[in-house]
Amino acid sequence: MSLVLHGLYVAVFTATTFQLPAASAQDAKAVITAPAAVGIGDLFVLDGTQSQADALQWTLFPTGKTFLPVEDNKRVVFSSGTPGTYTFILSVAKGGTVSVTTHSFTVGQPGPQPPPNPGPQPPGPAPGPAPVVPPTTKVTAATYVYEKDATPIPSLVMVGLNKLNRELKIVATIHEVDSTDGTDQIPEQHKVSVAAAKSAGLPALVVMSGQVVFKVVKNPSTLAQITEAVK
Amino acid sequence: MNSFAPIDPALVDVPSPQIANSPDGFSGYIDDGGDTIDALKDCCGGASRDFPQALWIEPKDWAEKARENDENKTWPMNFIDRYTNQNPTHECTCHSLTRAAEGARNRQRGIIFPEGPVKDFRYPESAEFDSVWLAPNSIYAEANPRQWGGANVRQVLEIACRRGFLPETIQPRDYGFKHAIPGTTGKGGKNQARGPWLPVSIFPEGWQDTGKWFRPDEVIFPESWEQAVCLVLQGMFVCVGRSGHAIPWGQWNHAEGVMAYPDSYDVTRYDSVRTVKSAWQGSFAIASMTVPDDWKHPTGE
Repeated sequence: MSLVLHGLYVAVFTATTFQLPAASAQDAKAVITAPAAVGIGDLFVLDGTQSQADALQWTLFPTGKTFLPVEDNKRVVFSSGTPGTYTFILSVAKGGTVSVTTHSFTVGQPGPQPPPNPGPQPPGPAPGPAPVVPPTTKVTAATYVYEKDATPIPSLVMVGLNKLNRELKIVATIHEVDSTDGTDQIPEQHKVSVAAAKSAGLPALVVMSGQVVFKVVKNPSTLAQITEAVK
Repeated sequence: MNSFAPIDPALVDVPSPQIANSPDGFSGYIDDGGDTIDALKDCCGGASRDFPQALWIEPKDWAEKARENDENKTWPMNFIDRYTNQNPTHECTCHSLTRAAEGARNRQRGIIFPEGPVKDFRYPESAEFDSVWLAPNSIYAEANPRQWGGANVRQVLEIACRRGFLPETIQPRDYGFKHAIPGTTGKGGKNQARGPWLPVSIFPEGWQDTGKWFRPDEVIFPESWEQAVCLVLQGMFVCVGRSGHAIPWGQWNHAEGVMAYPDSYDVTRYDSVRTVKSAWQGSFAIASMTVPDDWKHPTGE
């Protein structure tokens, strides 16, 4: 029972929307699309583009952490090296109406711990203060998602992807948005990147760290845009 | 691979090697007049696509685009990593088709082979970057169960779109494919398996489960010779049957006014612009192939 109550509590808390009564398509409506849990140090995007809004304002609790608003505040990019529960509040305004919603998520569990008895250790220097390790994100894939009826693939995008493959060992590919796998489904490896690219607008380069979107670059056409995107 | 360099005139508009070498006088490409644009579109079903205007390049800009492709190595020829050798068989339509399929797939994978196909050379990066070699005979065996006598374009394209290719028994790396067959009953080579004629009835059991992962997903049909050139300039092979032989156009030489193609005899040859203008009407380009869920496991296994 306690698990059920806990689950209910989380469900309510992670999607709370405050809105004036009798909302219509002309009224403000705040909507956040984002994962419920991410890994420590993962860079990810909270997406407010489904909102009906002329202006958007993001607030984060607990305070003291910074985040990066992008695309006229329609999305924010966030990462934390500290595990715990965080809540974003999105406030939007449109035509004299306002709407507020929240989204809570957990920054994941610490990685695997060393075994309790690792055995004898070689002698080393005297222990000092623990080093501060900044959170790092390993880019694993970069996909240029496009619609062939609207855009040819720029030559320099191909050059950039080839470079990422060869020099950085990142799986760098192109994906026509309608392409399917052998079972006529969106290929598993591209499901997240296709969604992210569609959200941003095609064509787009979606850079991934595992299943987490690291960065989205809209309409890249230069070699520098491709190589900078993975940094 | 410079598309402004002079070429050997002896390599332009070469008569069909199949007819010249064939003991029975048959050609490999059967030109029965049926490979019309409409017939080709019909045979592709849901994979059929009209030429997208976004891919159009004004002829006055072809030279600039050719220079860009030279500099960046983004010709269709740069997306394939091997020649095939069908000599002396009649498999040309299917060798041409596999060049286009492999080129489209490698382009989707984002890998460029700087020198294009090189006889008797295997790129180490073919293994590292997931190149899969497709067996021409996995298509040809259904198109012409009698082995000799060739096929037409719409036959082989319909088969590929419907149930896909099988991979060859020789691959850049061991993918562990459950179903693979030799690519040719012809000469083959370092990068292509040769073997005995295999009718579809004795393909490895369950072969359809592998074939579905190697299907053309989108096929574009040019409606003028200029559109065919545009597709090549945009990085896609344009497959065509003409003069008894089927080949894939893979690089436009702007200075010479010829179209280069990797012929299925371990060599690059050329069609004159006169041939291009007369032959484009039975042509197609594979814009994309089905994509694996994981490039390291192309059939999901």
